[in-house]
Amino acid sequence: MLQNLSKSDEWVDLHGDMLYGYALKMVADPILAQDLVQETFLAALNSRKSFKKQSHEKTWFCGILKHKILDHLRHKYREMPGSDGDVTEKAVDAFFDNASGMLKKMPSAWQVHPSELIEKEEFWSALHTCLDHLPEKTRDAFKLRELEEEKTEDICKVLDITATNLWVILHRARVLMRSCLEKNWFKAENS
Amino acid sequence: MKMMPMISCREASRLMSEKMDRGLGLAERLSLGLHLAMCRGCSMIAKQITGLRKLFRLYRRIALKKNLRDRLSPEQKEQIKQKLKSI
Repeated sequence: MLQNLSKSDEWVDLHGDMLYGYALKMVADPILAQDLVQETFLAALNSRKSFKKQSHEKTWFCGILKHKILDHLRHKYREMPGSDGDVTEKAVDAFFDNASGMLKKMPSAWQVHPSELIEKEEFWSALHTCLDHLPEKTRDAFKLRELEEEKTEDICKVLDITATNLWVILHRARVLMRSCLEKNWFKAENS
Repeated sequence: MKMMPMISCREASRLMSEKMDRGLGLAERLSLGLHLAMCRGCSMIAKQITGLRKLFRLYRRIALKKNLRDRLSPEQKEQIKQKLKSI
């Protein structure tokens, strides 16, 4: 038991920050993120026997935390179904001519050069600002898809929506993220 | 041969996104391809949107590795340690 105790201190020191950063990216609430990290360690303590030595501790914790995050989202959307479709539909419609469905204006010519952007802290904060502008459900769907690389079927289950519904949500999220980054980063950078 | 009707930018926008989430049918692929070949605006947008996906994948990898901003404070760590010991 004594060994267990020092072990859990070591876990917090070694992996706490990494797990917290991961949780915070998905739930954007510091208190909830801390709770999720704590629950992850608790679950780990309770299931130490099932931990296979050949897998890395870090991977093991990430796997548990991911389950906790998905559980949290599943609960949230069970309690709070609804959709933010009206807001995003209007926002996306604004890009197209009502009658012809053609683009109202040309996009700016920017290209994503990931290698150049990696080191720029300001870029990542612009990215966060744009994510924060998305309505909650749209943002969660987008993060699950593009950050977590979840399969669409699994995201549908978590958010309790149909596939067609998810495609619509993701389409709007991409259109809005693209135009937000164009406005907040690429235009500012080129000017 | 039947002429393929030209789709609107709105349709093209939807298809270029759905292509990232499901397999498009042949007719969908053809009408999207035709539209993108003829519409400079949409073809730029298509590149930018697929670029976003690459960017997010990269972001996730470096964010997990570097974790520059989001750290637990010493107090938060202590709280978690105490909690784990109280079980």
